[in-house]
Amino acid sequence: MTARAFAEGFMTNISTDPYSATLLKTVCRECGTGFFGTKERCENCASEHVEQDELANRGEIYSYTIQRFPPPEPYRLGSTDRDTWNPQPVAYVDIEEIRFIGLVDADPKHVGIGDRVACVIEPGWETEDGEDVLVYKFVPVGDAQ
Amino acid sequence: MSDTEDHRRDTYVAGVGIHEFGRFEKPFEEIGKEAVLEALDDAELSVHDVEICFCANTYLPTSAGVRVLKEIGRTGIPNTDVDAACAAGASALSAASALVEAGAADIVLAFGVEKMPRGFMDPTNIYPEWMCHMGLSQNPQYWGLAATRHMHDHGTTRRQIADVAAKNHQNSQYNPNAYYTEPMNREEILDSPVVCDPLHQYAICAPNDGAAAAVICSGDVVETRRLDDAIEILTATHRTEKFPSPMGGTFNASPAGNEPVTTTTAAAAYESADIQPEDVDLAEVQDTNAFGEILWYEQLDFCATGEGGTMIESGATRPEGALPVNVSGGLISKGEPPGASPFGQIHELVLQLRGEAGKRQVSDPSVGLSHVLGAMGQCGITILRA
Repeated sequence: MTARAFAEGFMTNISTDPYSATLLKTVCRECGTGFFGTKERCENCASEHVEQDELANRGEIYSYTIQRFPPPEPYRLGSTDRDTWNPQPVAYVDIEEIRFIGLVDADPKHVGIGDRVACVIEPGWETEDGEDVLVYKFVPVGDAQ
Repeated sequence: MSDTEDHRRDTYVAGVGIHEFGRFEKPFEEIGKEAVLEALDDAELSVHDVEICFCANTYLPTSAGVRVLKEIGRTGIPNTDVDAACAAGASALSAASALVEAGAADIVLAFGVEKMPRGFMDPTNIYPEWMCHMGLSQNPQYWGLAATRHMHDHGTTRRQIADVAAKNHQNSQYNPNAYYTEPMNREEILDSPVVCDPLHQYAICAPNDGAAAAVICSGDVVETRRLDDAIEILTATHRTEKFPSPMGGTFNASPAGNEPVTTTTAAAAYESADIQPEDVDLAEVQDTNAFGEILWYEQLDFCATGEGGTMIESGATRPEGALPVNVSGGLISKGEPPGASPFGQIHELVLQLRGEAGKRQVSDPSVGLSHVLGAMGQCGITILRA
């Protein structure tokens, strides 16, 4: 069983037993702006002096919303049937100099701004060739429940 | 664009036209044609007078502008189709005004037309595939995220957001070109299902079909043809957002010290028009969701940051208030045919500034402002003066 990232440029050190990977970030050396994933140029100041690095896996919720209706196709994490959809928290999380969006694996009633979260890796879906596609999600840690 | 030494090159809206917004069987060519003919009629000009054309649209096939023009008469003029998501019309208006001001043409037609696909808009149009696969591609998500933070930072409430939607749904009773004209109150909005917290269904707008058009001309033409109903364009300013632009389609939102695009576009527009925000008498703004309108009060500098909730509560933006906003009913009631919506705003502002808005007429306005904001942070602000 092999595995790959949900998209190019976001993960390294991918392994399947157990499922794990390191998430990547890119930071601009000229203006200091940080980006989730890989970039060749800084989206903020257009500099080419950008550096890829490993993203730490602890952060804090900056904002959130709860998705009460299923998302449109092409959705791969489950069914888009309205009757079986569970309200899904979605958040912007701050990890070091990066703020990026992701799903939160938590009870919608217990998600809040400032909650400490960990970023975890797990299989999301399978490709047609039977390869696992790894995704990331945020999970509350510590006192925040 | 105001106070040019050579007033012959000031720019004006000589005429406006609109096809009501809603859902129609007829093809987009028909919808666009009706709006264009009404605008030409309103300007007392013929299609033969038009030197250049711009057609704003986001979901139509190639060559939409020419397809509309051929229903009117092929006069051989240059046409450019413009896309800038929901700001496409403002981008077209910007280009049209710039050409007139520069002396490249005296009479330019700018219109927007849209016929939206039924059902969900294909999210892969805007979002990378992986975000769609993971369910991070739902349209009001980024608005829900923005609203939740604003409530945290400034104490904005769901009630205040609902009051914006209620105001606009009440205003639309008097707008025959709006899609939804049933008045709604705050409770009905708060009773509607939540889509993405804190946004309720009736506080969110729906895309639909429609068209609206404006004939732009120079001060020279206004004078020589005695176009007494022409309304001056003080500025048609268009900008794209600096990083980050958490406006749909993106996943990075790292703070980089930049202002949001509405703030920067507004500052540039006020400077270009040589007016202050206090000079604005009425505004039509991008209320694709009701929280957005609260944010625009702040970013258009109608009130201080964080005071948008207080502003809706004050009643100042109601039709009888000091600064009526979205007296047309806004996008929440009209629906949004993206290419056409800025022209719909211009149509409303022109009628208001002429004193011809009937039951929607606000008290003696001189300066009107139109604001649109689209995916990827594309923003257009147009300021008109009677």
